[in-house]
Amino acid sequence: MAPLSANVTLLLEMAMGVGLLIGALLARRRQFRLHAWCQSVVVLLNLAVIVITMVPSFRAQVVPKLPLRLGKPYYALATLHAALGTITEFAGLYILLAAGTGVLPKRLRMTNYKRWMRAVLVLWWVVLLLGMATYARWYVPT
Amino acid sequence: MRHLTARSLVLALTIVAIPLVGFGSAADEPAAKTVEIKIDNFSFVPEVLTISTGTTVTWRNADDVPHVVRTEDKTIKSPPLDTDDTFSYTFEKTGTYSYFCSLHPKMVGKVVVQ
Repeated sequence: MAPLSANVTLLLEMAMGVGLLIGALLARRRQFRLHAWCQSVVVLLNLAVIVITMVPSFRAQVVPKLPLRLGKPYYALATLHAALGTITEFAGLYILLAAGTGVLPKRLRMTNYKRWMRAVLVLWWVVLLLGMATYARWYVPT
Repeated sequence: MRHLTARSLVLALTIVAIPLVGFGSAADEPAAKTVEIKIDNFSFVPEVLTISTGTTVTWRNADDVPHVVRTEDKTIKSPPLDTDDTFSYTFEKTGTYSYFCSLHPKMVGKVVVQ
């Protein structure tokens, strides 16, 4: 039922969720270079997917109905997914810059990498599940 | 008395004639028709609708998810329709108008204007 772009986005996002788990396993195996590459590719690919498909779709279908129709489950789910997803993507980008590059000033760098990365991984999966629920609510007949 | 009766007759005829003359042209015009297409269970009902020119078609969303009514060339394009929202379009030209829901592209319908 869903448009092709929504199907492709869902598949990509699920693949990225699995990709992050694989990346976390690489870190546990102390393959930090591969871990860094894997997580960086996922975070940047996700940024592209957000900009290319999710933001235009959200602006066209959901934003015109806010905040009046936030009580409807399909708008509430999509909005929650968008809000948490934005926070998660920014958190991912922050980790990428703080842990993978030296562009941030010292006071903005993190001290406890593991805790931040695990928290973002958990948040990422919450957002992914919310995204799957949003897809189901919008495109799958009940 | 005779003069008065003649005047009364003219007056009576005038009163009777006013509605016939005054409203005759409006009564002769065909009433603008409105036909409804229901959006239900991820389909347009009826899927194919045949109408005459000048007919207004109203789509009503009876589903609990949003739908968008759209033709490929965007001649017809509704905003996202929530539950119980409606969208109307008046067909002025003959032809076959194929449309679909841009959120659920497998939902298709056709309006044939004769």
